[in-house]
Amino acid sequence: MHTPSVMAAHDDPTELRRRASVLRRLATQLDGSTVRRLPRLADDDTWCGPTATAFRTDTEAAWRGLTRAVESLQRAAARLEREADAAAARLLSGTIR
Amino acid sequence: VSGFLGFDPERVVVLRRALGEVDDELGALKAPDPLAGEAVGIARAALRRLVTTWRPRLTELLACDPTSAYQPVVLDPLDLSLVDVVRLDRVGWTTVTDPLEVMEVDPVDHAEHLAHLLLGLTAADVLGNARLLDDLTTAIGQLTPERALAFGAVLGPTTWGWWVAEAGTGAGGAALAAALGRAATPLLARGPRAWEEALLDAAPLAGARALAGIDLATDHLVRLAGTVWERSLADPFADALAARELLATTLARRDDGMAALALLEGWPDDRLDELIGPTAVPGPAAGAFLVAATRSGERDEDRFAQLTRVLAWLDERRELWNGTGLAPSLAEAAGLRLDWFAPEAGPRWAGLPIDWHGRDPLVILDGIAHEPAAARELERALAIIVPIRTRQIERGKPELADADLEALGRLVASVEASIAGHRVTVGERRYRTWTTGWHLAESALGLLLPRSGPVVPELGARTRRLVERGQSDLAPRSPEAVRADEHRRTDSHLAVHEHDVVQAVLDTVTGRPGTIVAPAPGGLGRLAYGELLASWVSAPGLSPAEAATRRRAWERVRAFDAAVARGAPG
Repeated sequence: MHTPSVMAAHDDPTELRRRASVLRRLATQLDGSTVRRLPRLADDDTWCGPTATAFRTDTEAAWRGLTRAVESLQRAAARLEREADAAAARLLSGTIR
Repeated sequence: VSGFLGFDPERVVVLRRALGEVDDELGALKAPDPLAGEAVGIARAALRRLVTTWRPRLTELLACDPTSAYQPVVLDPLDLSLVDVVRLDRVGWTTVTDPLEVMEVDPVDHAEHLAHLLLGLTAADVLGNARLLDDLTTAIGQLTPERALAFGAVLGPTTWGWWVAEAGTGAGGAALAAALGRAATPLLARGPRAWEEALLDAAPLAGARALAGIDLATDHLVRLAGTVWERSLADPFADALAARELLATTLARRDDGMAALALLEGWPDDRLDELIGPTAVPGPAAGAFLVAATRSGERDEDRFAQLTRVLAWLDERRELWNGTGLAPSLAEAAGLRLDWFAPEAGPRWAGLPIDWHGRDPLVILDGIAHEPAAARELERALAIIVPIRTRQIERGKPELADADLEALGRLVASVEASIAGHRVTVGERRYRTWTTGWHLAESALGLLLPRSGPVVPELGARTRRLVERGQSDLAPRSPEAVRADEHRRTDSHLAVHEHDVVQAVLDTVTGRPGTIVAPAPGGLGRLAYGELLASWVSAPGLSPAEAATRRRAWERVRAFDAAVARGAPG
């Protein structure tokens, strides 16, 4: 017979939600990166010319990479939250004894 | 695009500091969960590339190192090729050489840079620098609508209006004003009042010059042009006349004359003087405007109605027929209609529509048929005329048999009845229907009996007989119709006679009759003949004998004119 105190981590809703929370916090942190401020800091009021254009191109690439990372973390967090919900439902229905 | 970089050192320092923060974020970035591994990897790669590439590059840029690829350079801020590098509206920028590969600047950004340049310049900067003026005019004139929107968004309507006013009234700035007008087209088309107000606030000449470049829908353009025109009438300065002249020629060029037609249609009858009168606009411009408005094309009936309306206005201002440029232009317009009506007649008609001797122009122009119905009638006439012409040729004689004349007479009557039924004329004179029939008959006769050679002397009599037979079963003619007939008949005599005189003179001068053939009657028109003779008689450097010959020829014409005036032509 299993008790909550000895449940595996992947069956523990609390643990799953904690992990999801960590991922979301990281996503928020990345989404608030200084990279997001760079386009405004490097706009036409700052500079014009090939170097400025190249910087903008690289900034856009970094911005897109950051966005992909944020979305990846949010998807992973959502997956963990769904698993937590399922584990909680199983607990309530007595599947785990 | 150039191999230079312009920058604000203080802002680049801030940018470098921001990259330092990115570097700190990169150092602190850890994967707190196995599921975060991939995402953190992506983020780390993105940030690392940015930091490793750009922190040292910005440091180099700011270091003023003599070995750096970024070397200070002095650039001409008025060189338009540097507009994407130098911002005149920014104080304290540094310019350096740029080692990076030149990259194409986004055209929308380029449009914004152009606007920034204008924001930083004075009118004297531009109008006093021919190269910059040309470059700016070209660059602004070539903006696509999307780029023009970006350009306008930066410039704003107030500054745009200021530039229109400055360029539009400054020496050499007309093309720039037109380019600015073109660039504002998408903004005006969207309807914000601020842009229209900026345009209308400018001096009339500046507004007209901008409108010369604005490419709006006809109705919108005409509304703005009409407003500028009205304002110019209240403007006390000499530029106002130039403004109206430009507006007239601009509208004449737009939309196959539809813009000119629209303004003319909307202009009140009792104020036509302010639109086409000699104090409102120079004659040639008024002529170009009226020709465009009234020449055949789309909305042909409306155009013809306007032609008739203008001619009625001119009928009360006979003095305008000479010396203002209006009459030749309207003769052209009317001639074009005749060409449409009888294209095979060609330029033979061009000199005929206008009576140059103070007679009623409506007599002639009311007779211009302009509907397909008239063209069908002419075809029907040709079906009768061609066999007659064929028989003439077969007989080898130009004379017409009585049966032929009767057939032609019936044709005239039938044409008139058909014209009355189809309302193919526009006008208010009672004789218009009759004169239209006359024209149709004459066009038929023109094909049948060329107005030169041995049949010429018979033309007047034959025409008279033909008309009399053709209208024998018509209602009694009005006095105006009788007068019109007399005018036409007289003109025929005059044209034929003058042609003979010109030919005789040419024969005398060359000593070899026929080597130079005088233009056919109608090819130049009576005034043209008169002018031709006058200049020929008064040509400088003539020998006394030659001058006397020419004088005698001229006197023959004058004697003939006098005889006509006494009612005894020929």
